[in-house]
Amino acid sequence: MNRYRFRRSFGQVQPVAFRGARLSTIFRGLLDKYTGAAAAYSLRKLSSSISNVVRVRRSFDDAEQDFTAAQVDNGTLEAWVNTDFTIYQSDFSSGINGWIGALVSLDANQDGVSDGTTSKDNVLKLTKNGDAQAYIQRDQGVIAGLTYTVSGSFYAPSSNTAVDGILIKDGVAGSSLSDYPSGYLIPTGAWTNFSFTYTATVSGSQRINMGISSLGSTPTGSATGSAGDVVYISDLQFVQTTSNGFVATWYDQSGNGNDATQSVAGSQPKIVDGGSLVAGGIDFDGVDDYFVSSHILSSDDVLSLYAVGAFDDLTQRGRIVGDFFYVNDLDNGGFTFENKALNRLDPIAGYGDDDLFLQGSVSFVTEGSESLFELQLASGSSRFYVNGSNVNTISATMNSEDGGNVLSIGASATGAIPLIGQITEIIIYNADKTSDMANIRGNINAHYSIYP
Amino acid sequence: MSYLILSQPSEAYAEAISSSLWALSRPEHVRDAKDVSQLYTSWLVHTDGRVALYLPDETKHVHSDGDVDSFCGLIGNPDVTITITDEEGVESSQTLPMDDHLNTMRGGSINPLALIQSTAFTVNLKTRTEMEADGWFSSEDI
Repeated sequence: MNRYRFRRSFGQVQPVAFRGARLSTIFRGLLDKYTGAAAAYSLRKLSSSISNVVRVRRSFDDAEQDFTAAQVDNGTLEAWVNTDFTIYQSDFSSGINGWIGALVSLDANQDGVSDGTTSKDNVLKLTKNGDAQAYIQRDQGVIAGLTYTVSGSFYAPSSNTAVDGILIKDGVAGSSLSDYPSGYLIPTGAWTNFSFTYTATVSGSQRINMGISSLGSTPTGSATGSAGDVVYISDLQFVQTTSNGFVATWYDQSGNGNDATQSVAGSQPKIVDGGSLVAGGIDFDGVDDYFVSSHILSSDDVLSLYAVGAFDDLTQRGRIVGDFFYVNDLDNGGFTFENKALNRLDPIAGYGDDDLFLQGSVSFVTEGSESLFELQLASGSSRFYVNGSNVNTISATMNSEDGGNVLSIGASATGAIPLIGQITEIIIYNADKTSDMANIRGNINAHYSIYP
Repeated sequence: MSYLILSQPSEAYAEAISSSLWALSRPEHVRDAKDVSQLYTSWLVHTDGRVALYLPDETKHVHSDGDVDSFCGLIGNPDVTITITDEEGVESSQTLPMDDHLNTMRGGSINPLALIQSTAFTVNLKTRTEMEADGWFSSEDI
């Protein structure tokens, strides 16, 4: 048997054995090499025994699905989030379907509306009540930043005095033609289908104006004699073609089942924004986004913590991770790692009720830039690293004292101290791993290219 | 961002409202057994016992089979007034019971914050700044 062994870089798939014509591969992740993690969260695959890394909820229908690291990378997750979704399909068979009008009368369920060739039933009829602009308005659930395809069918009789079509607005404000991504939709004296795609700049309602193309660049203007003109609309449809995705579960890859979850939809951090994967990991909004997991610490545990993340606002206190309880300064336990912001102007690691904490100047981090933070809390020496540099050391053993409470990510376990920023990876050992720290640090930096 | 001070100072009531808002977009029969998401939004508890629901300014899908009755029943089915004003100042409005409004929005979307703003409950909406001044946000410290 021929055996080939290539130089390995942990976290990558490498061919290791060759048997005849069969090439087999084996994955060895960071956690396979440096075992014993209490909890580990990442969008990359850290362990050969783990398949899914994240469970995502998409915004348009709130469906959830699990994804592997490969599916995060290869676009499968984005494609699932961006599945076309019809947010509005008109039904004028029994009413005006929630549309309300200004300077226009609405009549639903119009049957037999014919242009002489084509006849349609269940049509909405718009009759202009004056010479000023007339429009209808409804909230289809359009969300700013997302993309929509709008389609339908309409007919403006040639007997009209001025109205010769329709325009569909991005939102409700503005009086310029540029506010209407549809432009003037002008039928050819017959029922006409239309379709256009646009990215919404405002959320909420859209207006459909009765169009008078002679008004040119100011379609909200007045047209003498246009009162009484009519337009018919049928089969109106808004299809959302991009969406947002939120993380419901960040799976623990340590094998200990300490999955980080959030059952409140509005408190789930974002992973797909406007159809695209968030750069820099999972995005926390600084209001109420966070995860909770399990209690991972025992009394008097030491700790080796690696966290990759970015603070988007260093003036707001925000927690990246913690397993902590607090009664007062002399009665607390566990650990936290957070930006103390205005309280101390320092990122800080606190640990246990000895009131010990490691601080590092805010100058070690750049707002909005990804950094690698490390706490190495071992017997006799406790150290805080930022991007591989030791920024503080306490020559004392910091341990978890009475243990923590519940592991939380992005805020405290109650949702206080919410982070504005992103978290890419968190690996926690409740053990002294200083002998491996250089290799673990190197693995993380090699993957994310955080610092030279 | 806005918070609705609830008439009943009860976390159970807040959770019930959050759950019923979730059921508008994700009714029981379409949920998967593995669904993690169960609630629409979070809430705060003041040290004096008051409870406030966080209402983000965002649109939310209303499922065609969304449970309108549970939500409207929990908050007393208030009237909703929808007003639009055009560039010429022409104003049009409709007032109708909330359940009627939500029934017309099935298959579409609503903005729960805007929905509350269109009811008499709008007086109970507070901004983040107002909430901070009123002592709603305390932070554990070390």
